[in-house]
Amino acid sequence: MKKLKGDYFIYSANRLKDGKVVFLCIRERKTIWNESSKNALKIKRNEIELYENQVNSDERNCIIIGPYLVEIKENGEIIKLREKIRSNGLNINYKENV
Amino acid sequence: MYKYTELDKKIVTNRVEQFRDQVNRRISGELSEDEFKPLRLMNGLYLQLHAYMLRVAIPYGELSSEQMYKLAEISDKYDRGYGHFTTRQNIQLNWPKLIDVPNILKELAEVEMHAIQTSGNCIRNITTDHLAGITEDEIEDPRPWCELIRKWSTFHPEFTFLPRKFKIAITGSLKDRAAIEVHDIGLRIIKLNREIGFEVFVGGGQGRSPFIAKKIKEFVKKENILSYLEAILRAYNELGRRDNIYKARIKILVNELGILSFKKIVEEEWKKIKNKDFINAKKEIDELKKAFKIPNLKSNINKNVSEKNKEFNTWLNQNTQKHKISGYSIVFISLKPLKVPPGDISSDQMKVVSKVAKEFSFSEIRVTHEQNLILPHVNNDDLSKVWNILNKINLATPNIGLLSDSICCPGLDYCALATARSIPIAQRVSNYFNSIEKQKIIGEMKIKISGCINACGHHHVGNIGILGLDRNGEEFYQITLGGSAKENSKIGEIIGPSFSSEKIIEAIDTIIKVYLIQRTHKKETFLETLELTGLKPFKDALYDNH
Repeated sequence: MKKLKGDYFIYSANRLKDGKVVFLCIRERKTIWNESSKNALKIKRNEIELYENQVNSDERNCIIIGPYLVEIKENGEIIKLREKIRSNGLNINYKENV
Repeated sequence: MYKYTELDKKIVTNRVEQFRDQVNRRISGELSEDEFKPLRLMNGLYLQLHAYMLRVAIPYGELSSEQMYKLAEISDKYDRGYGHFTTRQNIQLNWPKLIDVPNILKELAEVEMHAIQTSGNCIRNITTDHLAGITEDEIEDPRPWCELIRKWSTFHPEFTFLPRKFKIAITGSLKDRAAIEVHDIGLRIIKLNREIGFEVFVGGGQGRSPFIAKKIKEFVKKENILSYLEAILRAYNELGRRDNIYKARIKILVNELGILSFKKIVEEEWKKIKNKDFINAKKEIDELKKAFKIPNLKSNINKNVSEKNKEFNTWLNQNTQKHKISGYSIVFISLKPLKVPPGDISSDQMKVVSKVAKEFSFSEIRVTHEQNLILPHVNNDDLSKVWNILNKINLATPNIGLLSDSICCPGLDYCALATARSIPIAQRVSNYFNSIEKQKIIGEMKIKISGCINACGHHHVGNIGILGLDRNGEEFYQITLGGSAKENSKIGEIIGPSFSSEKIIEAIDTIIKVYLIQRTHKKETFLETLELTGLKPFKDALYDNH
C-alpha cells in the first residue's frame, strides 16, 4: 500500500458488476457506495481504521473492487488531477462531436 | 477475408461459455479478484479509470461490413454508442458492464470476432500493413502469413505465460507501414535470389525503454518461419526477466545480451526444431491465400476523377491512393475530424461505414495503426458518391498524413496508468492548425501523443512526439523530435525541459515555424530538415538560448 499523505480522505472503488466509480458514503447510519463523490464520507487520518474493515468486507462480498483512499483538502476538494477526472467523469462530449 | 473453420468457431464459442462461467463465479464470490483478473485479461477485459474496457481483436486490421455493423450494434446495446480504434488495429469499448461481457463476446462470435490475444503476457494480435494486397510496391501479401502465425500462436501452450506481452508485425513491402522495427518481432517479406522469404528483426519496442529492433536473420525460408519464430520465443521465454516488469520485454534481453549472443542462442534452439513437425507453412499458406484473394476487380482506365467541387478534390488528393488495379482507389476515412478524440467513431458512423463498404468496397474495411479506416477497393466512378456520404457524417476530413492526423492514446481521460491527458492536446493541436491549406504547406507530419511513459501513443516515433508527465500534480509535456516508424525507424530525441499544458501548443507552433524557415525547399520533409539542421535551431527557438 502506498504511503498516505495528507489528513483527509475519501474511499473510492469500482463497483464489481458494472465497473462504475463509486465512493463510500453514509446513509441512515449505514455505509453505502454511491456514484457521486459529493456525498462521500470525509475520513480523518485517525478514522481510517474505523472504516477499513467495512470496506474490505464489501470487497470480499463482491460489491466493489480495488478500494483505495483518495486524498482531499479539509473542505472536501479532491487534490490529484487523476482523482478529479475519475470523480467528475469523462468531460468529452461525444453526442455533440462524434 | 479469412472465414472461420469449424475448429475456429468451436474454439471461440467454447471460450465465450468458459468466460461466462468465470464471470458468474466472480460475481458469486467463488473467484476472488486476484484469481479472476488474469482470466478477464485473457479475454481483453481491463478495468480502467472510469469503468471496464473491452479490447476487441481485429486480426491484422481487417473488418467486414457485417462485423463493423455488429460493433455498432454492440456499442449501442451494451456501451455508450462509440468505439476507439487503437494503434494495434483493434477496437476498444470503454464502458461495458462486467455482467454484459459474456453476451458481448457471444454476439462478437456470431460475426467471427473475439477478444483473445488482446491482453496478457501472450503473443498478441498480429498486425500488418493496412495496404496489404492492394499496392504495387508489395512483394507478397502478408495477410495469409499473419493468419498462419495467428493459428500457431493462439493458445500455444508454451507461450501462454511469457515474461511479458509479445507483439509481432509483418510487412510485405519494402516500405514499412506496419512499424515493424518497433515490435518485439518484425517480419519483412523479401526476395533473395528469386526466392521469397523473411527478413527477421527482434527486440524493438517503445515504452519506458525504447529500442529499434535489430536484424537477427537476413533470410528465413517460408517453410521455416514458424520454427524460427518458435526458437526466438523459446529463448525469450527461458531467459526473459520475470523479476522486474519494466525489464521483462524481449527488447531488454536483446539489448543486455547483445544481438549476436541472442542470435547464437536462437540458432542453437532452431537447430533442434527446424526439421520437426511444425505446421507445414508452405502447404497451409496456399490454402490461406485463397481466403485473402482480392475481389475480382475489372481493370479500367478511368478518365479524370476530379470534379468541379473544390472540397471533393481536396479530399481526393489527400485521402485516396492508387489501387494496384487501375480504375480503383484506396479510400482513407479520417478518424481525426476537428474536436473528436483521434481514433474514435460513433455507432451511427460505424453503421454508415458498414453500408458504404458493402456498397462500394466489396464489404471490406481496414483499420490502420494510425487510427484511421480504409475502404480498400473503391471504383473510381464511385469516389464522388463515397465522399458525399462520408462528408455528411464528418468522416471526410482531408487530413491523412498531415499534422492533424495525429496518433493519440486515451491518456488520463480513460486510462488507469496515464499520468496526463493526451486527447485534449491532440484536439488543441488540431484546433490551432485547423486550416487544411496551412497543414498542406507544412506537409507530411506525424505528431504522436502519449499520456504516459508506456507510449501507447507512439510518441517515441513521432516526427514530433509529445509525452504527458505528472510534475507535482500538474500536467507537463515533454517533446521529442525526429522519430519515425517507417523503414529505418528512429527514436526521437528529447528537445529539453517539458512544457506546461498552457505552453505546449505555443511550443509546437514554434517548432513548425522553425521548420518552415529552415527547410531549403517546399518538398523537404520535417525529418529531412531536422537531419540537416540538428536540434539546435529548434532548441534555440524553444528555450530562447540565443
